Amino acid sequence: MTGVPELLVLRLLADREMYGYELVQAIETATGEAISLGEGVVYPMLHVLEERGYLKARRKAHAGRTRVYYSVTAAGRRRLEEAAEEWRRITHAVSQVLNGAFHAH
Amino acid sequence: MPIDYVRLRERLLRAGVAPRHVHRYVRELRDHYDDIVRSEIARGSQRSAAEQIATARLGSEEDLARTVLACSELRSIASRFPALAFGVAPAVVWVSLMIATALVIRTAGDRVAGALGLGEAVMFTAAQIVCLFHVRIAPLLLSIALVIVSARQRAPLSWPLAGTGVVCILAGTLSINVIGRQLGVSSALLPFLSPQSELFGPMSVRALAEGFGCAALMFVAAWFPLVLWRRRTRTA
Repeated sequence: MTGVPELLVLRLLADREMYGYELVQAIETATGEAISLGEGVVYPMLHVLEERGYLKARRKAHAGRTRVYYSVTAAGRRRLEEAAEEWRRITHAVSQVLNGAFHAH
Repeated sequence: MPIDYVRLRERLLRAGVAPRHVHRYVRELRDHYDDIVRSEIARGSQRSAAEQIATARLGSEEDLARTVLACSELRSIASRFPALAFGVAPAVVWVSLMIATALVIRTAGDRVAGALGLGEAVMFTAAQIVCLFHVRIAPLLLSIALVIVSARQRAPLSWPLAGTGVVCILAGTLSINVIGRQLGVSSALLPFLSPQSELFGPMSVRALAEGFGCAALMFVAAWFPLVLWRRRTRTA
């Protein structure tokens, strides 16, 4: 499951900018609660993705409080495409194995 | 057990995580906690129950700290290269600043004076002020900045002490004088380090003692606010 949180975060933030709490809720909703990230540990991942240039952060007022909103950069969109392609390749390969579409020698 | 945000912040800073990440992380955790509590209360929970749920969902302080510490990309440059950041960089920055200013004065000084219609006397005074700034004010400002950065990052004191010490000694023992249209640079320290060199003036114990006295004053001035602030925070 390495890389799945990064893929989910980039995909969801590609649609619209969100702050941490919103993002955690969005992941649970989008995955039908099949995947839930540790709520406190999502932030270090966001900070790392920002350091790598995949996300940008900005403070914005929301309901009378300022929040740090994250959005995907152009580099982040390219990274999302790569990660999604890699994920499709892996799931396709695993599906083939699970469906028995292989020839054991 | 509720998260002690101050303790978490201090732990991360002392471990070398960049202050901007630490402060933002702690703030985000607080906001996240508040969001969970509000949401649970809106669903009908009592405040105490909502706070318990929020604490459980956010994760333990240990887990939160460990996750950040596992991310090497979040460490500050100074914590990765303390000798370079606190020991070497200040002296290099100070010397580079002096060389750059000297070059600017040499190449553009006359043109600027001509364009502004400044006389010899004004230019002489301006040059003296620039010299004084470089040997007394700039090193002090640089040392203060270094002390602030190291305090902000909770860095061990050894390298910042060494860095500010080097800058203050070099600057305190150096003097730059305007002689006619030339700059005269003399150091009370360099002749002792390299006796063959007469470029920087004669060997003088008295000049060296005065230089060290000046260096000590700059050093104390740079560190005094931090010592005062630490005493106040300890007694508070």
